Amino acid sequence: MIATPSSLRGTRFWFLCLALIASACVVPALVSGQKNRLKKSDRAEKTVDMVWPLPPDKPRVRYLGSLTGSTDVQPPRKKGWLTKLINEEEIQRVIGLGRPAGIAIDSKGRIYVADTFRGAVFIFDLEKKTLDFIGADGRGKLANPYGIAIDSKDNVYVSDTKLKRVNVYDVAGNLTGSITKIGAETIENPAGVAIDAPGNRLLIADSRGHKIFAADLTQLGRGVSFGKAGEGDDEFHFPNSVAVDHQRRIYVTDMMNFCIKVFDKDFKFLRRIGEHGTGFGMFDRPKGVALDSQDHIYVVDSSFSNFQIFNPDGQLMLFVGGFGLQPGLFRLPSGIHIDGRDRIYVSDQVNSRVQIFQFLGT
Amino acid sequence: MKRNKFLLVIVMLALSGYAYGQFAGDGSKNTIVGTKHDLHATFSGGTAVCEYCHVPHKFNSLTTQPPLLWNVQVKPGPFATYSSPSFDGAANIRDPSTASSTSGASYMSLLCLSCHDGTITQASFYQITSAMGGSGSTTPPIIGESGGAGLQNDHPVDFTYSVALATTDGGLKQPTEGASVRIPYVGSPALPLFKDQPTDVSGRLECATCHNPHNATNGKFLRMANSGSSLCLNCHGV
Repeated sequence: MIATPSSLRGTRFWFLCLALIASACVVPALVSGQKNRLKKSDRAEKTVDMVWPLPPDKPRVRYLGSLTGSTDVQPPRKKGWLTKLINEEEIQRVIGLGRPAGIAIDSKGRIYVADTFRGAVFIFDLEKKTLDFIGADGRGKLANPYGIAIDSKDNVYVSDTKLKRVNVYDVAGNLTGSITKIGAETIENPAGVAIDAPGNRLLIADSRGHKIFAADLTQLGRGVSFGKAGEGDDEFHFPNSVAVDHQRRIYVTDMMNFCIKVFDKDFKFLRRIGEHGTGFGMFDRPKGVALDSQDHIYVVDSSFSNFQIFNPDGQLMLFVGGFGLQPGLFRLPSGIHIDGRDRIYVSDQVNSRVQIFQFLGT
Repeated sequence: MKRNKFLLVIVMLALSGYAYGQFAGDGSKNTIVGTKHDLHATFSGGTAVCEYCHVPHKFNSLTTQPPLLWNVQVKPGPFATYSSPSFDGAANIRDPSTASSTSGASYMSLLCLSCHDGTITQASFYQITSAMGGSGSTTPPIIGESGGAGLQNDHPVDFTYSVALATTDGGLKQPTEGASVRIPYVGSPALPLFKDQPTDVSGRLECATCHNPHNATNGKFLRMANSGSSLCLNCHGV
């Protein structure tokens, strides 16, 4: 059994050393086991692995596995004597994630990962064991894809901080449109995006325009904007990401005001969560934000290398992560997404992987 | 005798200068205000300057710690953040969890990259120039590496710049390093290299080797002017 639920510092150093030694022995086996389990889909297993919090507290989050690239869908072929004899060239090409940022899931359960290093979106289909790409070349080629969202028709919206636009792709991956302006207002630097399905809107965090756009999806280019630069309730300072809960409340990571701001669907300010600092429930580099089925709020912090979980009232429930290479730890995490089955996907940029966790319920 | 003592003081002062991180680009002109790193200038009425990079350890001042409602076993405490190697004392420069890792990106360059990721300013550690069809690898690139031949994008950072590296390369200047050198350095004027652990012999090249985020005098927060590629040649060129 292994569990690594905390930040790593100071008096925990020796504990950490022990944990490292233990993990060196256990983790490789654990990881491969977890990957298999993930592919076997929802079958419940009794294996105890990494959970948060540690016993005797009731576990709420479990580590499921990580995505790193093409090897997740194409397990390396066993080299029999025959294969060795026949081909040297048919060795599979391996494409790894570079610096993953935004994550989204379509109606078929495929996992889309915007990769700012590869300049493309990876599409992992763990059922069919395929890996596809959007924006790798051609008309819809991406430069620095950061945020990603998918609507109910599986149209894919990808923000690109270099091209300064949100590209729209159909389910087949063809570029069907592009959003650079809402009305007369130019989107300066589109970062995180989210779908407000009932409102048929795409919310776009304009990190350098210090505002949130609500783009009308029935007519590209129409919509409204909200906010301006500042520290007030209705203002933002480099807003990074945006998410929508089941009551259509809007959550904005106001990165350089070091908090999450919550609004109703009409952008009426409701409350702030967090402040600047290193304590529990505080933020230093808040980035991705997402909600589970019970509207718990998950916030990734690049500086703390973790994500913190708040209840709908803004109280801190738990945090997962810390700085490091092992599963359950992160280096410069950025995006987060939670699917309909309460699986939590976190992009672990410098470790070049997406870590997947399961929210186990309260 | 008196003269010797005087010289000794001078030498000690000079040495302590190095010990306290006096490198090219450090000095009295250190200031954030008015530079691009002055984020409080985004809007009128902003007051904070330092806190965008230096997180206040406010948790100490809180009278009641917020509880972790699902995790009663954990004592509330500070989260580890990126730290500064010019911090005095023998504090670990990196998180100990990465000390044995050869691929562990250091905390200090990650602090830079936590903003230079495309959202606040242009991404600084990204981009592969070849198409997806190129021969890929699951080994992630080190930060700043272009992914292709040459420096098509960025200079790599977060690697050890040792005497051994300079010798092998043949085109790099020898750094001054050693167990007793608190902050190793290279070139003249000296550019700092940063140790992973205080006991290390060699330092690592990080963003802050060439950039001083507090001093915009030379443009692009460079530690020295780069006219005639003098900054480049400070390392590349023997």
